[in-house]
Amino acid sequence: MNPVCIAIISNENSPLLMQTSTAYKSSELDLMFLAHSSLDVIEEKLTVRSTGVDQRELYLGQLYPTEQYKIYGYVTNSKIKILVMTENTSQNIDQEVKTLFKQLHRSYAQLMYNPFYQPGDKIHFPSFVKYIEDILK
Amino acid sequence: MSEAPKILEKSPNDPGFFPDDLSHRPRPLIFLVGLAVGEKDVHKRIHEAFTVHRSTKRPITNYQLVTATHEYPVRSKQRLNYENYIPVGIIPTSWIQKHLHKLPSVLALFYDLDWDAQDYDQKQTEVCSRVSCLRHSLQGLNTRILLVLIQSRMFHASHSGSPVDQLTAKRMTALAQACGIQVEQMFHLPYTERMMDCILKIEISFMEQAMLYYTQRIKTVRAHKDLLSKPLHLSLFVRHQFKIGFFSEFKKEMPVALKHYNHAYNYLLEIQVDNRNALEVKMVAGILNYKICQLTFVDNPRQAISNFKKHIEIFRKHEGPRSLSFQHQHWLAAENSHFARMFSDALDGIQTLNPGMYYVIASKHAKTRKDTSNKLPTVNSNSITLYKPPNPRFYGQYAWRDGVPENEESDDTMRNAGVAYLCEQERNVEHNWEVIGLLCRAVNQFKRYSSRRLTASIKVQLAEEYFSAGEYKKILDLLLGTVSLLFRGEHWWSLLERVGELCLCCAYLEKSYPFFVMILIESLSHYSPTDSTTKLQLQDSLEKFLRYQPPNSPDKCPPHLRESTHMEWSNMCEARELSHVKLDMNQLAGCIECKVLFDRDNFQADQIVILHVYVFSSSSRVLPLKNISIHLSREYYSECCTLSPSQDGESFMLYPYSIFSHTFTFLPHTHDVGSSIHADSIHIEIGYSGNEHPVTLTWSLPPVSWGQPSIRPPLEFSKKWNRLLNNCSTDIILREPKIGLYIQTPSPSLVGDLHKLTLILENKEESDISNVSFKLELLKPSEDTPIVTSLAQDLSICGNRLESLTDFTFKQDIITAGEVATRSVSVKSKSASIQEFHLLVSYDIYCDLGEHGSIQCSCIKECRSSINIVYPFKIIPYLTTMRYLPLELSVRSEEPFLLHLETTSTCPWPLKITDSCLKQSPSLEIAQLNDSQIQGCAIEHEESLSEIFCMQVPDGQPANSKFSIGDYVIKWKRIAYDDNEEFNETTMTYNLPRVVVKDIPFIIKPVHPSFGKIYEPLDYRYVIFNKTLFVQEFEVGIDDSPDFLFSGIKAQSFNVLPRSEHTISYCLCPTFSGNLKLPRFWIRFLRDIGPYEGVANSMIPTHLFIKP
Repeated sequence: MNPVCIAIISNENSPLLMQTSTAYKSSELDLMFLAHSSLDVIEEKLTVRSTGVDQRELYLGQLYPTEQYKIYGYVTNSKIKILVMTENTSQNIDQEVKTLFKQLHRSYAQLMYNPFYQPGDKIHFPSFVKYIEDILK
Repeated sequence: MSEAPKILEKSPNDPGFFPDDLSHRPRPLIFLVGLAVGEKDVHKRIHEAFTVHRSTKRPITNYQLVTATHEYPVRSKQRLNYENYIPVGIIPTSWIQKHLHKLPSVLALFYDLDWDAQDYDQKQTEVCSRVSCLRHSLQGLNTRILLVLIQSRMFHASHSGSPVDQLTAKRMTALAQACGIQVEQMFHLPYTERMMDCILKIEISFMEQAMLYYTQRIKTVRAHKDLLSKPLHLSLFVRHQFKIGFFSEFKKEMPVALKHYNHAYNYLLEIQVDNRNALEVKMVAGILNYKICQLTFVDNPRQAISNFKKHIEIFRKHEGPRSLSFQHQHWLAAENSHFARMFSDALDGIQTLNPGMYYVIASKHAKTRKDTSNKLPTVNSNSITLYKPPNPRFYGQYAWRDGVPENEESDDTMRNAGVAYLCEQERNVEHNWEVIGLLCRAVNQFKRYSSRRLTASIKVQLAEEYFSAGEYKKILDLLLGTVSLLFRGEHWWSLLERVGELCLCCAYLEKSYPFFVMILIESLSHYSPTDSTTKLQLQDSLEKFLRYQPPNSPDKCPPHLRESTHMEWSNMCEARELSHVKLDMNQLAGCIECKVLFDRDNFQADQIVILHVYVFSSSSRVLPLKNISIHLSREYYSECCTLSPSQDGESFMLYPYSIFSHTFTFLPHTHDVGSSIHADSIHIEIGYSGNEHPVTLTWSLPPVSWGQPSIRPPLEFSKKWNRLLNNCSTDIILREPKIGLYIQTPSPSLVGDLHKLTLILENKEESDISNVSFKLELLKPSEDTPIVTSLAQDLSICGNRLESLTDFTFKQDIITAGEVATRSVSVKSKSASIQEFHLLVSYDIYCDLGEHGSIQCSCIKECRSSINIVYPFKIIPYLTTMRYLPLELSVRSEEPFLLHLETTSTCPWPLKITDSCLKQSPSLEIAQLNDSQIQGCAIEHEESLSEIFCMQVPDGQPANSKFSIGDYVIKWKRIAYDDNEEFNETTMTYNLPRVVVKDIPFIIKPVHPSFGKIYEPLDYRYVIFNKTLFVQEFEVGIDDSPDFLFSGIKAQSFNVLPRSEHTISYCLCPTFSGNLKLPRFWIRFLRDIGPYEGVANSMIPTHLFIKP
């Protein structure tokens, strides 16, 4: 798996953090458009899920097929969305992505412990940003 | 949305070419000859019956009306030997069209001929000649010729029937022979009411003949297969399989067609792709894949989509000649676009899989094509103008390969000229419009699948293409609505910045200054991630605009337009053509924010209303503020809430990242007391004093629309700013009264007694109060409400003026400062309860407000008091027999009983009983009715008084009837301790309980002295009274007693006549003293008149007191 971009999006659909791997810095804006667009799919999936049986499954799977990237989504119980974009390969990386999402969720939850972080604010904490950057390396 | 302004006719070797005929299913082509539609009505109607108003049940065919002299395609020469033959192409461009529109499977000749026509022979000859003419013009094509005879009536052919039938049969055979066709290929079409039935039958025969034709064609194509060798003739394998597939489609054998198209596709994959045939192979693959997907979409859409993906994956790598790489991108774009169109025609997609996605992919390839084309080197155009490419004979074949066998190289000169020609053509293509067309279609698709964000991002791409195409106005229309609202609403500032950048440039180029200012105000805000250098430039533009100077050209502005646009702006500014710009800031994430706070939630009528306004700027430099005004819900206050420049005309400066504040004050109007004042909107005018261009920023309050951003302004003062919360509304309330108000009352109040309430008002104001109005009202009035009466400070005059009221009002003109005014009110209640009184006092006062002058204010003060109303007495009535035995509210008629009334005081004060009497029911006889037994008695708290009345129910009262004993009336008044106090007499009526009358047949009345003396005989009699109207028989007797000696009959029986008495006498001599037990007197009823022994015993005394 080669993650290209990781985005954390608030429950009101505004971006809290968006980090792109160094190789893809030039297409950061395109990736941002892509991340924003994929909220449509998340919204739709959440609507379907709210009527479905298993509402506890946080992993939403692949959201959106594009020629260049694969976009995976994850929604926490407090409706914080986490997006991971990878290069479009034919490999099945579902399991890896799932593990990554769980790690990210845990780290985000730890960030919440920080009394200086107010939920809904953009995430500027160097330690957290570095953690995401390390994943993207 | 607008699409490309013009569509160029595409050549079959253009990568974007698509044979339109492929999008429809092939229909068997049938030519109708000999119908003079314009001349004969019958023919016209026959033609219409074949071609128009066709029901869906009828076979799908393609009827064409042609003349007898129509020219048919010449049949190509059939190759019998392929040994040294090298194919020159894969699918000829003319083939599909030929079979769909030019080469009929069936040719039906219509001719008017009745079997019994007079000039039959002549007509037969004419028919034969026409048939042979047609056959000649078809020249060996396998087209089936059918003959349809239009007849005026129905003929039946039979060799053994009537002469006419025999003639018909004979002539029919003869005609078929003469024309060289079979009898089955000949049809009669009688022009009668059954014509339509005949046409339907004939049509089925047409279809059968057509199917036979296409079967024959398939066989012919198949026959070549054995002659071909694989490595050499792969192109022909593809072509033949395609043809078989296509003919199968005519035959409606879709699975067979699909199989052959798949074969063709697989053969095509075996062809080695190189620079000579790259485009041809890709275009044929595209055609085959289109056909495969079209057939697969019907049953298995997912398979169709995966086929397409696979197809693109395979051919993506066959780029072809490097110099023509734009063609590859063009082909990829076209493939995706065609597939998207097919997808949208075939079925509805879902959000994550819909035709729009393929249009987006197509647009990406079209963009790559545009980029590639822009990099093409320029060549000498003279050499190109001389070059004229031949018409392509095979799909996708390069012009320079025309007629060149597949294994041979083409002429270099030709190829170079051809490539140069293509490059020149490519340069002339309006690429932007190609991309715009695809993106427009994508937007239209995505709108259907609730993808507003994706639609927005495509619109941004679309706007970029419009920008390249120079359509600046369209961009403003496209982006400044929903798109920017969406990005702003969800705080995707980078995306909003991208939109802003584009729109700013467009607004500049279009000289649309309201939009220009709007975008500037938004771009300067701290939300915008634009770098500080650009922001300084943007602010510079804004400042120039405010000074009537042309703004700076945005960075994105195309260089060739900069100068001209700058000039136009200069002219506009000089001519002062710019009108007032008004911006709705609720819709923007602007660089200026403001908040409005009323100092308090409410102000008293004599207080100055304080309204603070705070303005915060996140611009890069100082911004000049010219005017701040707040519009309030009452227009007359708005004048007081305007901050204008001082007289020297200096603007206020709004320093970046600092809070500008101002406080407005005004005095509320008297008539606004009790209502609210809202701040409706804030208007801030920015600009320099003097000859500036005004820009007004307006915020509606309370702020709604896109919502306050949850992302806070940066820097340390964010906390300070966030702590300020809009408070856009305040209430104007009454002035606080400064008076003391009390209700004094002793507790409790007695039912029926006149109770006094003292209302005390103490004026603690610094000045006199006027128009003082007291309103006393009873809360929760019910039926038993007390009677309230005004006593006007004088108790003595109240007596006759009692009114039943629940509230009443009285007024006093002036109460001077420090005065204590008192009013008395008496109340009287008919029942015991707790009553609450509400006293409301209103008055006017003049207040001095210093510099704001003085105003008259109304004040209201209220107080409450409750009184407990209780009965003064508790009266307990009970009944006993004459011998003090208790009676349970049931009495026996004609037998006397006693009524005891025990009156206990429940009042805390001493009371005096002035009188009491019993108003007995007329149904009762009272033994004696003297004066009150308790008159004049004084009674303290919890002390009791008793009265006893003896009464009896007279004869004639019906048994078991119920009636009231009567009322007990007691008159009382409070005992005054003080000479000043005087109390009124109050009458209290107590309803005595109801009793039940019991009827018994007899009464035993003992007649005896009330006491005896020892050893002194006394006369003791029992009188038995028969109350019934019958003779009653009794047996009575007396038992021995140790305490008495007695004489008299010990036991006897006797009869008593109706309504008469019988007396039994005894003489008793007591031998002891004290309360002695009498000898037991017993009575038995000899007639069964009921269980009255117990009743009888209760009438017989048991003891007698004997004095010593």
